[in-house]
Amino acid sequence: MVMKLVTDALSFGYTKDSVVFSNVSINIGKGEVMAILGPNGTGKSTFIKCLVRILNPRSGSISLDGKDISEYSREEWARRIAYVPQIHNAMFPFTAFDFILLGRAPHLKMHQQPQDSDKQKAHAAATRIGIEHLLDRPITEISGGERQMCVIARALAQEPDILILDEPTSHLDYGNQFKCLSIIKALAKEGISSLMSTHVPDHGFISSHKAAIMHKASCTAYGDPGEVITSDSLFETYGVFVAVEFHAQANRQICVPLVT
Amino acid sequence: MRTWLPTTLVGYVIFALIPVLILISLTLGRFPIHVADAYLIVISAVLEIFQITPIHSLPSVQETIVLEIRLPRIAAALLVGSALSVAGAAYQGMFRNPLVSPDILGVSAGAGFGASLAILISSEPLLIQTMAFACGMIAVGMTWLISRLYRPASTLILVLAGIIVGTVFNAFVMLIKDIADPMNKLPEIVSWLMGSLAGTDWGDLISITPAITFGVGVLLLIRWRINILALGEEEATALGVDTRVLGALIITASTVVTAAAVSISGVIGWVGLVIPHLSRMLVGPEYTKMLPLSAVMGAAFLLIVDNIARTLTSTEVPLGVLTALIGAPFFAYLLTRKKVGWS
Repeated sequence: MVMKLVTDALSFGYTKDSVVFSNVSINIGKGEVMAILGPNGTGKSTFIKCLVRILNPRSGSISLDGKDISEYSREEWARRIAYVPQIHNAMFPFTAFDFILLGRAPHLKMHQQPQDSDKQKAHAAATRIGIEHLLDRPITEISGGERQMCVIARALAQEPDILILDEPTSHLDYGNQFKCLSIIKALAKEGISSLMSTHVPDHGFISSHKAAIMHKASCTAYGDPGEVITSDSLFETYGVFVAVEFHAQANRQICVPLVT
Repeated sequence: MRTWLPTTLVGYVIFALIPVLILISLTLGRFPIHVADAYLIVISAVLEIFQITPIHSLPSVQETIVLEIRLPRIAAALLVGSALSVAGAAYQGMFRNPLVSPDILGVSAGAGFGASLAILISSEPLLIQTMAFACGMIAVGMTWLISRLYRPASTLILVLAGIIVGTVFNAFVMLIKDIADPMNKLPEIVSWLMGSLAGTDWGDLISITPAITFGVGVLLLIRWRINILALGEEEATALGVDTRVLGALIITASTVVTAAAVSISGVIGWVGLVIPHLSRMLVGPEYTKMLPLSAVMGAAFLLIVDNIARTLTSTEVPLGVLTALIGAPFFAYLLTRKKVGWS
């Protein structure tokens, strides 16, 4: 069976009367990358937190491989779906290796210490991302971009089917943003899907198979990036005139904000 | 770039130091006992347990002092020191805060109240010990319940609830001090609150050893997971960890350990704060390494401080005073070093 993460009419609110988002229905298949766009405060991060079980949705359902989220234990869920937070605020200067190794948590029992095989997997995750040289460094002393790579490596150490990334590029410099995207793209080719929120419409064209726009506490557009990310939808969402055109050299649609 | 010392090396060195430290400690005190004699007395006693005839018998006074007075006190210092350090280290990880000590959730305030009340009613040592332990546990239980009133309950709420409960129990302690007989009860309460291991006997040790062994054992067993809590609740949750269950387990184990330690020693501050820092500086913040080291270093530290407490002047210096007077400047010195182990 082809792996699939599905949300159906998902809604969330912190109190009875408030609504952060409602009626979000999306699905991600194996090897797919999906970009979620939308202004600040429309519930993208909250939606993502529901997917990784940090928050419990108020109504609607989340299912993986046709089984409801409630049928999975926390550990089982974390072995399938890994979370990459927007920014990791490091408190203690764990070495990058010890930090990545923590991704093995859902595979270990409460009293178990990581075994050699876990350490190898943490190492492999770091190698996959190309950060072996950082392994002995304290995560408090590396750059924000390097730390983000460590968080992605930690997520990979979970051996997940899907990565859920909350604005993975927002704290990265120009170069690292694209490095991050290319990693997401490469992982998708290996069968590891990604769902990421982003503030850059172009991301929907660069590496994504699907795009969604969350606006006014709901999902206003969802589907093929070319259909979702248009001049009209971007104006409606952000109030900015954006030209969306095909660029021959980039070989994809590009978004140019018509702002001077 | 920082380099931590190899853990095994540090561990071996400190582990090897402890028997030496015990032996030296046995010779300290008003009654002079030679190292060789102390060694023989202990060895003979151990051999006797295994029903082997003592190789050497010494005057019974020396034997009594070593076996009945100094040895239990030394054992208590080791046990209490490691208990407080392990509990403090676990809390610092769980609360993601290097300034947290084992009494953050009100265990010491509760224990202080229990002990003061027991002293007020009678002076039966067993009652004092039991009341201290029970009230320490009750205080943390109350903290936990108060924190549950809030949704979502976070560790921050837990800390605030701990402050609330601690304040209430400390107020009761002040009230008890106020009404206690200033000639005999008050000095006893005050001296309990300042901490002391004077007069510890094997009975005291037997009553706290199971609780401390259990609590420290649990914390050592789950020590790798404490790292995960140190990432923060959200990331830990996303890693499949039930932070409520793990948090409750750490709180229970730490509280049992601290309440048991405090019940025989009285309130001893600073050990649970300083020692985790010291071990973090030596081997780094990773709990599979720093927690066992904290246990060993805490034991050694409190033994040294207690030796000073009983030999510095002709009367006992309160242990809590010394841990603060030695611990605080030492902590200040540690902070001047770059490699603090947190940021």
